[in-house]
Amino acid sequence: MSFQQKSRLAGLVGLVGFAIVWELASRLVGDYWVPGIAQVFARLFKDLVEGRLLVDVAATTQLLLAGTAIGTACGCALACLLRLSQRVDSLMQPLITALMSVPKLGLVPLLVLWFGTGWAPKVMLVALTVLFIVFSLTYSGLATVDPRLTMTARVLGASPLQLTRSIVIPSVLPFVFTGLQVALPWAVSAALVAEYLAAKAGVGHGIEQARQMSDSVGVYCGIVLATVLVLVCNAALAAVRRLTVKSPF
Amino acid sequence: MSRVWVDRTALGGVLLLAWEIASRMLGPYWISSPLLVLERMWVMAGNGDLWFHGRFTLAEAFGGFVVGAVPGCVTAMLLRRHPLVRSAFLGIAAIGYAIPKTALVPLFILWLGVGPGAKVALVASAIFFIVFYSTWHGVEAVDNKLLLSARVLGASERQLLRLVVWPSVVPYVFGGLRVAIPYAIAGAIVGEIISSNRGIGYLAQYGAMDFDTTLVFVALVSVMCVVLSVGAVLSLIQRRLLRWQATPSQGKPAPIV
Amino acid sequence: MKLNMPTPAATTIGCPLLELRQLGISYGDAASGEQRWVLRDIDLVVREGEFVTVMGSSGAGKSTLLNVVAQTLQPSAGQILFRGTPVGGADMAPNPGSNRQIGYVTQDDNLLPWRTVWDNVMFPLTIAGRPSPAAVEKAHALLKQVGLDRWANHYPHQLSGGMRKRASLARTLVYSPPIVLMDEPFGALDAETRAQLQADLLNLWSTERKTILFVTHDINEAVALGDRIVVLSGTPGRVVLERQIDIARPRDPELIFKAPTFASHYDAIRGCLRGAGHA
Repeated sequence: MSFQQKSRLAGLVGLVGFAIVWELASRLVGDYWVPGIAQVFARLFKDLVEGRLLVDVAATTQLLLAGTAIGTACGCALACLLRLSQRVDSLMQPLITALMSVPKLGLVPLLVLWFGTGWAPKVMLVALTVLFIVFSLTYSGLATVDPRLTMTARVLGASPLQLTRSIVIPSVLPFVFTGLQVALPWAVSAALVAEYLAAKAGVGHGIEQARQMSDSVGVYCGIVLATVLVLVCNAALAAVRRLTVKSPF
Repeated sequence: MSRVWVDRTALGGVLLLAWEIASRMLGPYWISSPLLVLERMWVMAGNGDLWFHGRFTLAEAFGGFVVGAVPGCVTAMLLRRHPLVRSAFLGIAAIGYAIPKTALVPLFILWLGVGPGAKVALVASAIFFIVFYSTWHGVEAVDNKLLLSARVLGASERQLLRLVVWPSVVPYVFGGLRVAIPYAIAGAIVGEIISSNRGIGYLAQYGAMDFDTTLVFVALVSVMCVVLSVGAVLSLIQRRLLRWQATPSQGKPAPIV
Repeated sequence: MKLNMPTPAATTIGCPLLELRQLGISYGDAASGEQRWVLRDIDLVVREGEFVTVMGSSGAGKSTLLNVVAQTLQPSAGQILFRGTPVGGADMAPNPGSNRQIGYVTQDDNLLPWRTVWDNVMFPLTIAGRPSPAAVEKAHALLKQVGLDRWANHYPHQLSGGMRKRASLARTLVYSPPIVLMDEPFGALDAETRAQLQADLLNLWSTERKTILFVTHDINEAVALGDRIVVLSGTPGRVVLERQIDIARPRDPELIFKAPTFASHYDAIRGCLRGAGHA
């Protein structure tokens, strides 16, 4: 058996081991602390059948998509804007560093204060979270756009628009995707926090509700759902990336 | 002062001025004002409130950081010579990394109540993975030729670990720490916002509930100052610790969320 | 920085220090029939105080030979004897530790980047326990000999390639191993630095007659430095030529081609490398 195969087998053994430890813990410390695996999945199944699961997942996903779209667009635009001028860029550096040192999730109270508990602050939170990550990665990515390519294109008479379309965008796209991949777990985190504090539906809302009723099975279900959400979105993102980005990055 | 810094200070001044003017025009209720924020910070620093809450946040951040970083680092080092156990562990770790840490907050609260325990657990769970993966990259990057040559010079296994592996890994561990420490503070704040009655995050939340915008801004500015100063201290340490490196080391801080 | 060449110590070459008997190294599994011999039937005797240069076409297994002598590789056949005692062989257990009788200098300087030059040179002494004042004295003297005494508190990245090589040499010699293995140590340096280091090496060697096994692909270097040249060739590699270099010492490596017997040595070796290469 090659090392690769052994490695994969070991990974599986690890997961199985984890499941075993979970079950044992459940037997040892009781249902309140660690409900059994069967219980959790039974509840998940029940929620699925009753429709509640899909409602929650749909709400959170909507939130994620909206926030991510806005955040990505703004982050990208901001990165491009700053990269236009070296002077503007170095001018803004400390401001950006200072803004980045405020945890975006710490802005929740402010957003709730300003926009209430509706849909807006939640989307804004996710958008802000995604914005800074995508901005940061696209910004450093733009620095690597081969200046010779742009120069050649300009010499050949390309207009700024053509330049953007044929050189800048293909070069930047990989970084935007990387930014998205990094931002994804954080976006989900942000969505969850937003839902804890101000929501009537969604995975986060479900977890918080379960906690308030001391329903550990519910809490575990929520965690599993959130994790699955992250994994699914990751896979989707990777697929989209494979289809759209043709460069060898 | 160089030209750039003059420009930057000017920019900062202009922004603050614009904020102040907007506040005068629209009223401080929604957006507070730089002067109000400064004044409140001064008062709170004076009567000890700021330190009272700040202490909790820092303790949670630091406690969580240690509880997460030490096992993270040690685990990566221990798994160095056991490739199969490592593969097993990496399988589980990948899932653990995918779990959004904030999803675990209600669980921690369920287990540990609304006290600092839950915040420490939250921070620890995030930091563990960051430090584990950084240390792991460091271990993978150890130059085998250095190990071989040290072995020929007569080093024992333990000496190899202490004198060759560990110093090779330190820049990576440090890079991980640089990323982890701001996350630790952020994690503590988030935990407090979700549920707490102490700490800077609590101040932000309380201010929001109480429609006290100034207090919210005070909390945010305090966090910003703490993170920036910690970053500055870390830079200093890095320059001293890693002065043997020819090029700037890893450890560029990732964006904080 | 050219050092003045002192008068060499008495050139007595002594009794056998290192002996390789029917040494062979293979990869793959004998049982499954995938065994591939890299070296085979190597018989070599290196005497105390001798400077032996090893040459060979690429792939002939020169580096592998050094690795086996350094005991970082286990031989698949034959024996290694050190001062008459078997220390390694196909039938013996692998000995991953070092008996510190061997110094090993490679193309990479392998200096620990986080230690100063001084700490690097002292490294072999500190891992063996507290170094005696005499040892510390020796380290100072060595650093001075290689011309790095003013750089003792610098880090490797602040030194040039040639200087790092010198530091590496000093580190190898500081614990006085009786035999020093060198695997194309000057290969990564530019021509001028290489010439300088060859001269420095001969200079160092003349004061303390260590036994040296030096691998190179450069015939000039091999003739300039060695008392004897061994040529490996073929697949699997075998000893195809052993030739005494009778050119008197002290030698100037840059002008070695002027020696009267140089041409015949050169032709013999080149012919051997070429001919065996086509075999």
